[in-house]
Amino acid sequence: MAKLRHPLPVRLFHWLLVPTMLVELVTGFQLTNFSPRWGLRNVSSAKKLHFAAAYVLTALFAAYLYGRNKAEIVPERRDLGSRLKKFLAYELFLTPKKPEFPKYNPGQKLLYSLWLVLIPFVLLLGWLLYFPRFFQKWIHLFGGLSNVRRLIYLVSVVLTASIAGHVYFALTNSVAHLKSIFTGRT
Amino acid sequence: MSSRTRPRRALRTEHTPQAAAADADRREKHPLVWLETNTCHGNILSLLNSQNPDFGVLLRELLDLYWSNTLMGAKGFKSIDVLEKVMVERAGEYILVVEGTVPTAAGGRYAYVGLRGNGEPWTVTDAVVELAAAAKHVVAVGSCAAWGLPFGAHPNPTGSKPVSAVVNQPVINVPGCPAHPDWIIGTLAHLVWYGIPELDAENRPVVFYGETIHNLCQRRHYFESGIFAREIGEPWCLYKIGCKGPVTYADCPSRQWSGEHLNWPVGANTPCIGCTSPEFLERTAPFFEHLPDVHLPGVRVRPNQVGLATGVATALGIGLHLAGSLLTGRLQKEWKKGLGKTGSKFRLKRK
Repeated sequence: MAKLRHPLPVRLFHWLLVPTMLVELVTGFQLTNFSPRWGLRNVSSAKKLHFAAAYVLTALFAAYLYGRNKAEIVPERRDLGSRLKKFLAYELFLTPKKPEFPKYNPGQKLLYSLWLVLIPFVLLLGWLLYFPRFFQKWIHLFGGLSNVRRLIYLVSVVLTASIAGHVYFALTNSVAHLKSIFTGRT
Repeated sequence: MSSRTRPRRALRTEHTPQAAAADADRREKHPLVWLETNTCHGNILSLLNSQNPDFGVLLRELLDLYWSNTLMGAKGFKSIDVLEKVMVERAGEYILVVEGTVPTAAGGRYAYVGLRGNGEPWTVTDAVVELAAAAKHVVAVGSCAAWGLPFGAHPNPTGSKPVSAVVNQPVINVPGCPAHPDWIIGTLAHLVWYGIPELDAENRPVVFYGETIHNLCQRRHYFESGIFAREIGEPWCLYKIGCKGPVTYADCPSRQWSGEHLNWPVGANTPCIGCTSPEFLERTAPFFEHLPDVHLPGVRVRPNQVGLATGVATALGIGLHLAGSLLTGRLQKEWKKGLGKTGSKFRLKRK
């Protein structure tokens, strides 16, 4: 029988996260630069969707932080040394031999760790904007409302780019691994 | 109640016990020192534009103005003498209003109040520190005094700082470029009659800076409906051409400018530039862009440029890697292997 790679809670989290992040990013960019061409009739709809997705995302991430085995995704020393060299050599087409890694390769680990930091960070910033009077002192620490807004935009740009990279590698790197996020098994 | 009568009532209402208790205080006017430092004098001029009450009423009923660089008739030693005496004779009684930033570089030699009685030059920095130490309340009027800009903008050769960074006493900030006359008079009247008003985290009176301009804006429905001005002068929501209303606390939309309460920037079809925000001016610029610039080492870029560059780099990276994967046959091999293993009926045809 094929090996279990992603247990049900992980897959459930992943597939709930996909539409939530999509809604959050699309409506977020809409709030920055609204255009009806993106399918939303008005800013009010974008705001409602954005805030609803923010609640779901916060709940999802709280569950993730509580339940996920972080040791699987946080890079070890080797991931930043020899494994990373092998990974880069293959991905930069310097060697034809595909290296073997434990569950996640160093690139994945770095990416997931980045998200582990950036998503809660951008959520925090979003809540600061959502309750500006309550979080006045926090907002002051982050350099004011304008700066919070700019930080959210910049983090969202990084998240969007990294998600695009994730989707590309998921589709091209290993069909077995791609299958496992649907079925759980490779 | 019309907006014209509101401030007058604020001065004369005597129906509450608090107001009655404060009535005794009104008999004697409170000493005020209005010190202008690195400033355009816009705030004192704004105060002079007050209509209900006007500046004359303020002087007759509320405040005893001991010093004002702009308004006083005295010059030289005669004027400095007043300033030195008030520190001693009215210590712990007077309100010190500072308008402008405090230049601290070069031992404060970028700005002088004048020559002291002993003939020594009196720097603005020393004057602010000494006057604040003997004052009952210290009020920083205008965004220069409250936040330190624009004099404190990089590279800031004069070492200009906001008042709160120079004195040890708590400072009440009444920011604005300039501050609305009601904000100034309201704060001073509150200090005289009831003491320190409720302040927010930036030490601004909540009564004037308690809500964002965006939430009070008459054009909010245009924002919600997605009807945006593309250029200055259009009568729609100015959000997309840099209106800082969503990140600025002030009651301009409901109060209107100035003494006659006639209009305000958005009402005149130009975006709010966020002049009451602590980030004003350097960290909100450019005025007519939605987000402030990103300061990278040696270069300043627009956030949209960062977004565009990241998007292009991502697309290029993915495109090049995809091309490499196709040209080396990796992708075909991987998919063939993967689909074969799953037993799928889909097969990639071999030529």
